[in-house]
Amino acid sequence: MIKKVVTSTESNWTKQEGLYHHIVISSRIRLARNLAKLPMPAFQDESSAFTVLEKVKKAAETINRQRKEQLYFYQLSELPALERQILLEKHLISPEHREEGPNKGIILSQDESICIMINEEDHLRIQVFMPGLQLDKAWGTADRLDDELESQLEYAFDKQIGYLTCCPTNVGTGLRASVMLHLPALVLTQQVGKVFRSLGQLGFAVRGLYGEGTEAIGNLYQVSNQVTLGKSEAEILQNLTELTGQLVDKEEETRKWLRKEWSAQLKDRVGRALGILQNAAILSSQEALQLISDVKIGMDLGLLSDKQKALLKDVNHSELIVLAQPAFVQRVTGRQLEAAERDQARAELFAQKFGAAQG
Amino acid sequence: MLCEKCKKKAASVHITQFINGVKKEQHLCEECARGEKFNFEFPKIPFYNLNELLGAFLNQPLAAGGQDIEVGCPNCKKSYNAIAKQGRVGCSECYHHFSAYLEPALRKIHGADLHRGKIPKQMGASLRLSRELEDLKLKLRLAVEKEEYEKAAEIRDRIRELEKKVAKGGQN
Ligand SMILES: [Zn+2]
Ligand SMILES: [Zn+2]
Repeated sequence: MIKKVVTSTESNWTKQEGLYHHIVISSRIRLARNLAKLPMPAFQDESSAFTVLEKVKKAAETINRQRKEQLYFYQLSELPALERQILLEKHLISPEHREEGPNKGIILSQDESICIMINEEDHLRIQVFMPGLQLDKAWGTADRLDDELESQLEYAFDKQIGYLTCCPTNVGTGLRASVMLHLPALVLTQQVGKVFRSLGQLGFAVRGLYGEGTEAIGNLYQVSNQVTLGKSEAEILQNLTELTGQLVDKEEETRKWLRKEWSAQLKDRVGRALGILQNAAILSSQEALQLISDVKIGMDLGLLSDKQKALLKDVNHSELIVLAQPAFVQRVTGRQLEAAERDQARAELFAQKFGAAQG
Repeated sequence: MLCEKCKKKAASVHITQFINGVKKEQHLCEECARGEKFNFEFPKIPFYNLNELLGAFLNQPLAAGGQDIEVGCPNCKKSYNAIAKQGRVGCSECYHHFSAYLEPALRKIHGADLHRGKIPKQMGASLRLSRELEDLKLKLRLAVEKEEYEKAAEIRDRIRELEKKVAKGGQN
């Protein structure tokens, strides 16, 4: 099962479907859960980490008997570093979870809609991924899975303050809901800074593609709720869904304006981006993400020529985001690469994808 | 600011370009900007170190009457200092043992101190029922305030049903 996960750029969230999927790449639900009284991961020793791993593994085996969709357990130390990196690049695990450690695990579903991290910052982080804006559906899946796990495990829960988490910022619902957005028009018109500053005041956090502190590359942003205590899951999800709708409106409005006023420049960008993607001999991850963003907005706004349309017929933007990442390029070429070689290999890969020009 | 090109109209478009790695900023009016080629830039996201922020929350001076900071958690033996330093608790029991420190921190972080979300099934039906009742009573008050009497009547019926259940001992 894991072999397919680490060789294919496809994942449940890359399907390009669901509400507003031209702007909302994906939705994610993450629930922080811990086992009562066992030391939290920040302070656990190897044997207590092992206890947690075994308990959760056993719980998954038990609930599998009742499940239509099977769950698959993997101990991360048994996966090569390259495969752990690919799990990160597909957003299935966090940067912290990728790092070497003896008793870390994941539980995956075949379609990659579910990935539970074991012994990350909390004992369990139940994650559900969906394409487009589908927070409610993702929550439904996470909620049911949480019920199943809870029937087998003793969760740390307090009547007053809810689910007890390793970090006090997650106490309460333990719910972190997030959406990944492609906002090229807001970036281009330099509105994005202003918009995001106001989000901070409203209790939402904004991050780049790979979490805290990362730069926004490829005009991709993750927006998530910050407050987890004092609000119900339904309220948290409704707030984020409404906010996402507003961001989509703002992006759409700006795109309309761009299309009207700057269509020649946008067409120019698409053509140039395709030219580079087809012909570059060295292509960094960052540049690739920027270029596929340029191509995507051209596609979304219907600014492509018939020839370009034919060329891009089968191109999936979400999968290209995965393909642009370092480990994926390495995987495809099948050998260890230095950074400079990787950029060359990436250039080749993208040239193939976009139908290399003659010569 | 005046447009750099025509020096007549107000500059409303601000373009940052990287040309051969050198950053160049332009401030143009809309009309002049349209004639220019533009380039996307990567805006930096303001980044707060959550741990540092949290450390500040957790190091709030303790109100009088709290537990002794020297006594570790009876379950995991961690001291409050170790917890504040890491911004992470040692175990679930830490939340009870250090509640005098952690509850004010939670209020500062979340602006609330009562969980209003999901309750594990194992916690028993009665807690869920009483939480649901609280919520319904709040909704009833809102409906009455908004003069939505039909809705209010429905909510009142639901409350009566739940109260009967609570009286019977919480079975569904
Ligand atoms: Zn001008
Ligand atoms: Zn403790």
